[in-house]
Amino acid sequence: MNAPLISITGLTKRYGSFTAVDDVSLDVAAGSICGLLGPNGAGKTTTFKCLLGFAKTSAGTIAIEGAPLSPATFETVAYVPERATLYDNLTIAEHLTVYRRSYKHYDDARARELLALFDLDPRQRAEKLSKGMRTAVALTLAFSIRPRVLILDEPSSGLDPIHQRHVLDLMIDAAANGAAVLFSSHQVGQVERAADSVAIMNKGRLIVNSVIDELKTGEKIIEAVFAGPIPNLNGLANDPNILRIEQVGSTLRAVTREDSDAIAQRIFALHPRSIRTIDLNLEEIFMNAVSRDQA
Amino acid sequence: MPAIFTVDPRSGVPLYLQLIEQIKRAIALGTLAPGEQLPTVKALALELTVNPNTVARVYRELERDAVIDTSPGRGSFVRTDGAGHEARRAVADVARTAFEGAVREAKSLGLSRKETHELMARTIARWYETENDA
Amino acid sequence: MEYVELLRARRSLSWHLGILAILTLGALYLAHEALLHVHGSGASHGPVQLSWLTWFATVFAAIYASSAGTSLNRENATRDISWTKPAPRTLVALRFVLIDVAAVIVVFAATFLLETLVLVSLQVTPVLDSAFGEMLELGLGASLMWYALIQVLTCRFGPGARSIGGILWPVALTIDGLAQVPGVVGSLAMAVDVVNPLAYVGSSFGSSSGARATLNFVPADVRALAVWLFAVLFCAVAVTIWPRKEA
Repeated sequence: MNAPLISITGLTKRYGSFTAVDDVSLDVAAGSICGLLGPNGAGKTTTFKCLLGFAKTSAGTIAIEGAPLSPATFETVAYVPERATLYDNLTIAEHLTVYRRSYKHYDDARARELLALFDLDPRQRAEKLSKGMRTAVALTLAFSIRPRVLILDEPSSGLDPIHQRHVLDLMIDAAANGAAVLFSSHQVGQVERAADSVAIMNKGRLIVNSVIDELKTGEKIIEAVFAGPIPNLNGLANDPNILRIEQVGSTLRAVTREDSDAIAQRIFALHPRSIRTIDLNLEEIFMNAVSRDQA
Repeated sequence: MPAIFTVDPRSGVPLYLQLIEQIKRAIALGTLAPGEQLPTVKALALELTVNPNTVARVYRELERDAVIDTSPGRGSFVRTDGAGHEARRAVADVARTAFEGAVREAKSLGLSRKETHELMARTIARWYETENDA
Repeated sequence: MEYVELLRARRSLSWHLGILAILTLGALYLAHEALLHVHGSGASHGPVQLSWLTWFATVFAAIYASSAGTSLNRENATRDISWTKPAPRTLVALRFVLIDVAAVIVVFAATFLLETLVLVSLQVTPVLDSAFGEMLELGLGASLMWYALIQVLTCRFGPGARSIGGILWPVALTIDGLAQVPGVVGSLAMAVDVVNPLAYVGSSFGSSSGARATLNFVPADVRALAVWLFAVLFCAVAVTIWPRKEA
């Protein structure tokens, strides 16, 4: 049940002298949902393009369901790009027909169900749809083929909050049925709920690749307030598990990577007036990671 | 199931820990009765909109803590023996952490020991005045 | 078969054949008016060679081919769908081409039949002449070569390239004209003219009106074969290079 359905190893993509993706390795197992975060231009979309064979890789290997990409692979792989691509002069219903004729596992009942879920009228022409509705159509088509692998680039963009929740539910349902889901999003809260692992990219590199729970258990802030000026830290800053130390007035803040309890003990030994451990949510962890990387 | 759970992804606490605490609290309070069946991993994941692996982990840890029993094919059930004890213990842990936080906060705000004590006594009096328990 | 291309072809065919039908009706009306006026003047139209009818069919089919030839270019906008299908991309492109080719042939045949209808209603007898087979082959092949040329020139580009279908007419005419010019310019134009469908047909059609005779030195049966070979070649190239475009 846990063999990786998506396997990216050492992926590198260069456009001339510009490196868009730099040695990225990432695995997504069956039943797992991985959220890909990163600032704009970090290389997320390029990674997807390489994953799907839209661009040739400069280095590295890609395997989907354990094998290199082939046309047959796409029978169970669904992709929704950032700006949902549709045939402008076809109606939604005609899009369903295109998929019915192309995919073995296309499930029309499911497609109709999803259209209703997203409040879509099958008789509408694609060019008349708003951005959110186009995304909804693309998602409907993607989930209708009963995919085992889902690659979604910003699947919530343009959707209202209710529909966004539907998208999360669809991903969770797919994962519960054994699919592997890789999605990128700017909505860190969504990644936090639905994903079990997170990959953070910045400037083409993968700076974080971890199970979310472990990340949250490890990365914390220890805040200590001292009665007077902050005493000498006795080399505390050299602790490998301390990512950063801030000193403002009498307040000391240490951002820890792991083993925050041990570090808290060390700070406690400096006799602060008060000391507390602050848990970080994914958004804070993400911003810390990116700003650390920029430095 | 009668009990309703919510998780807050924005809090720094890992979702699985939040859920474990809430389930133990429900058992301690009796909203989840001994022998009651819990939803399937998939059903709970969809209801809460959280990752199925998170729910799976919760169920595994609850089983490890002897709070629930999972039999393949039948489902997960609250244990009829001792689950309440473990749950109450866990609830006590939560309460203790909350207390520690409150006292630490009071101290860092500069309250003296006497002031903190008085504050606590007044608060207890206010919350327990309508009940006859000690 | 590619459903989306079937739909597009159906829509496009309806337009083209609709216009053709209107033209036919117009021609029928005008011709009957003229007939009424000259009736009894003793002038009767002589038989018309069938090979002449292929001229208009070629032109009309080439007009259709100009719009159909950008089908792969159009599909570039929806590559996210067609490139993630469980079918080899070359096969997807080939299906597009087959549908288009069938449609071009339909337009050619429909035009031919309607022309014949107009003539018959004018009590003009079409006559099967010896050149008919060759002209048919040349005409249909040339319109398919026209389609394939546009396909291979546009399939790797974005939406801006769609205008190539329209621009190609004057460009082809110009090159064909330049090929007559003596000197370096003429030789270069002649070299390019090898892939210009107009060079193959121009000399057979309208020779009496002083039109170009660029490739007239090549025998008609060779020319007829050449256009088909080029059509197949260009289609094969288009189908092969279309999947290579980097996203």
